[in-house]
Amino acid sequence: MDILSHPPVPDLGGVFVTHRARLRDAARRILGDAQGAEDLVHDAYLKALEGAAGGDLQQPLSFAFRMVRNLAIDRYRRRALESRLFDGEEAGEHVAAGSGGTPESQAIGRQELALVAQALAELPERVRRVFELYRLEGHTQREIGERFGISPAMVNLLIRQALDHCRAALRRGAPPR
Amino acid sequence: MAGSQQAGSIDQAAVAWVMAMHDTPGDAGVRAALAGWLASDPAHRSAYDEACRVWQITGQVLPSSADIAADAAALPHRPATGQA
Repeated sequence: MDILSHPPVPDLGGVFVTHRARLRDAARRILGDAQGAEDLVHDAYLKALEGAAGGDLQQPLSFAFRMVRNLAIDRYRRRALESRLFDGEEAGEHVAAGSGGTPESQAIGRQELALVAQALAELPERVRRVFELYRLEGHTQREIGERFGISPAMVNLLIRQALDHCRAALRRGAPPR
Repeated sequence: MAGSQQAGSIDQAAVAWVMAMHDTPGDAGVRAALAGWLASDPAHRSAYDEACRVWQITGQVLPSSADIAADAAALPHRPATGQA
């Protein structure tokens, strides 16, 4: 019975190895690019090795996800800030997200950003939170459903509503390109 | 009327594709299916481009709540240093 009174330290590093693909997907959902996600998971892995010795981790997998997400959000924000600073007002270049391309590759005008920010602000608080968890924080629809006690189908619907609302706002507000 | 109804459903499908690409970023099957859908009608392509644009812009808007800050506080950048 108390042979196991000193359970092995949950192996956070091992979690990174075993679940590398899933962690990378989570990072990629936030960052939008595969290489960046790969690098980020590696960095998180190194951090985990650094800290794991003193850690008392009941849930190493969810801790790993949290670590990766937080790191990814940090990095994404830094990039977003940089691209806003450097892309200027109306970078007209329209790089179509081709088949296989990720939807992350076009410069954004200030006015479009304002229209979408406004549209998101108009959403009911809960819808907006659901959308943010999905869009900005890399959570899956299922995770969000569990968090709010609603079905994944409802989560899916709310996310679509948010995106539809933003699209409508852009159509109304933006001159045809 | 029928035309705009159809345009609406193409728009919805485009949003669903963007979400599918987000959900399973590396999935070759999803990519192939998307490529097929895009190739099957020029209207699909423009609806998808627009949905991608919406998606991309929503990623630049800062989150509304303090939830992220709370998450970040719960996870120090250097996890529990303890005794060296």
